[in-house]
Amino acid sequence: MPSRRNKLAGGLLALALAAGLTGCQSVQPTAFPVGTRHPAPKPPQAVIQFFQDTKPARHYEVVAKLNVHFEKTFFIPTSMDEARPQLEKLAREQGADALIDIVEKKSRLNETFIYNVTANAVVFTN
Amino acid sequence: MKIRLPLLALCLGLLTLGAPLQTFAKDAKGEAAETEGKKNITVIVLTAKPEAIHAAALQALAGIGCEVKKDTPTAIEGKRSNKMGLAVGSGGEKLFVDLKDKGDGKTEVRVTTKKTMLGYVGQKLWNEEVAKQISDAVAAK
Repeated sequence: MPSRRNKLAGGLLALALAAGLTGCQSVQPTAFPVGTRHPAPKPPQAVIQFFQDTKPARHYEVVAKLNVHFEKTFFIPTSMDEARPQLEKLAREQGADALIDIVEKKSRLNETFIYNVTANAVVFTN
Repeated sequence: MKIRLPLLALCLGLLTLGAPLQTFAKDAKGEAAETEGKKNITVIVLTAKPEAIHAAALQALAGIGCEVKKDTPTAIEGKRSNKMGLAVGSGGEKLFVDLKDKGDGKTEVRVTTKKTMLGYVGQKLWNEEVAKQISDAVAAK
């Protein structure tokens, strides 16, 4: 039968694990407005076009630089699928039509997987 | 001696969690001579006005997961959030970027990392990386 001390240790361990599972990741979306054009935010349903490896055929102007930073411990990776909604949300807040110059960076710090994606939010001018 | 695994795991967990109790490095605004040559401080001089470098510094800090806690035209302070892990976790570092106008269109950029007590083992010096990102961004303009 487990002693009272062992029960206490088990309880503390469970508490620490619970805290760990809730505090093992961070997501940081940031937008930096650039230029003089500051369009009004778009509604949540607005479609944001992604130009991962190409440039739009239409004329455009950069309105913001976006950055989304993920860190997850326990060796859990992050992919673009998770970053995409965050980028779209930021782009809508900046009133952008599309995202260009999308750059993904992946690195590791001990057991933490770091995923950072940057993009330029643009509005079409024609 | 019998090792109590739950207690050992709890201790390791606590090391990776929580707010900083103590910093090891000196204040970023402390004596310049005393901090020169330290690994947690990177000083570069860029040919650009402080205002131009300020924006690049904010983006560089966001790029390493820093949340900006203080932002003035000549000083930025950010902190990476603490994350608990299996053994060491990560985060908790504080980053300081200080800008000093040197005249002739040049600006001194001083980037300082301060590791904090809790989660110290999983922390990293980010000053070199941040300084490089600022330098690259300014050069690209």
